[in-house]
Amino acid sequence: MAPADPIVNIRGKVEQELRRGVVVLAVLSQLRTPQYGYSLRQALSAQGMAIEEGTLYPLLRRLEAQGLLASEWRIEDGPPRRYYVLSKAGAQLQRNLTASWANLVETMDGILGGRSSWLARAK
Amino acid sequence: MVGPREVIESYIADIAERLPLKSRADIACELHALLTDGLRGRSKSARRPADETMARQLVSEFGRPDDVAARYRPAGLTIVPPEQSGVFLTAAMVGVAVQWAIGLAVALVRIQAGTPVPTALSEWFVSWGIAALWWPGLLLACAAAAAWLARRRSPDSVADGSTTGSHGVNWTIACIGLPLAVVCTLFYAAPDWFVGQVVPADVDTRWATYTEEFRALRLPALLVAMIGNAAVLALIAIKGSGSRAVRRLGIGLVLGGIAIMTWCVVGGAMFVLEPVDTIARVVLALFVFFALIDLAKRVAREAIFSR
Repeated sequence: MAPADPIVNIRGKVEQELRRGVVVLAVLSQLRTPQYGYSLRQALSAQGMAIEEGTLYPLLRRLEAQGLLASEWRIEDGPPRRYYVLSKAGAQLQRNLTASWANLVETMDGILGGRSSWLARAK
Repeated sequence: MVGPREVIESYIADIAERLPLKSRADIACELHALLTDGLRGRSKSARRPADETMARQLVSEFGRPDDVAARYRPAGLTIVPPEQSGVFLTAAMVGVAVQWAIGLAVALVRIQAGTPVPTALSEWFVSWGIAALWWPGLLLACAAAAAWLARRRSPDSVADGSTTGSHGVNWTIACIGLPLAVVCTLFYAAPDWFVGQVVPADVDTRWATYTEEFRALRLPALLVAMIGNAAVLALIAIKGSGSRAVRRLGIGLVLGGIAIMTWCVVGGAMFVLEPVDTIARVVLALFVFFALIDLAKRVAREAIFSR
């Protein structure tokens, strides 16, 4: 069996870390209106941010335990489901993280030589 | 042949039994709704009714019950942060090695005095050999206390619930400096008692007896300085040494400690037995020397901060 390509391994790990950093912001951004886990996953996936179920659902509970989300059981069009929505602290964090993200993107654009330049290089 | 519903229910039951009792029912209910939705979604995409294979694939992709349950559990307490594990192991091993070396020296003296080698070694093993493990135990207890304090001061990180790093707790002081300060204070408070605890009962410990004059006058002052030092170390371990008040309190205590230790060295005999007294005063003089270096560093640092 051929040994695994180290570059592929490193790339996988680094990409995973990059994604991990933005998953919370992606989730918070979608919860300005109440959503249940499955619908949230579908919404994120439809926008190109597929998150594993086994990662997303525990994350929702952790964010709730940290006071960033509120939840309630509802029966709407099907079986009972737990709906999550941003709490006041969650909304504040989401605004802060969005600003940080904007700064980060701007900084990285500069470092990588402008958006058009790095997009062209990535292709 | 089992139905898809049974596959999901059995999977959830496997996860639930690994979850804390308090949240078990709630998480199981939520998982049931989520997996049922997931299965329905797959069935819709595949344009065929859900079956056992589809359900098994869904739960397989969701993760092993152990892993899923671990993700739902609150993050555990990291007792020794990874970046501190090297220091922890070194401190633990050096402490044990020093005690074993002292114990072996005692065993050697006993062998020279006529005790058979197997007897002396077996006595060493059950006394110094095993007893030396109190030191890693103490380090671990202090590390656990520091980790607990860190957790109280800084809740789980938002992104992944992990607790890495020391969250501002000065781990080296909390887990090595503070235990050392406590042990030294205990030793100086009653050396004869301390030595009696760690050497075999038939070993003479009278050499570790203070003179009456030292015990009555200089020892209380020395103990006050040592306890004060331990208290400041605890404060620095928890709050950090960033505040000006803590830094100046530290300088004051070092200064006081130097004065008291110098008084102990030059103020007459500390121990009844002369050779022991000489060694003890030389050791204390060395402490004074290192404390002076420490004081100079602290004063220089304070001067930088004051600019």
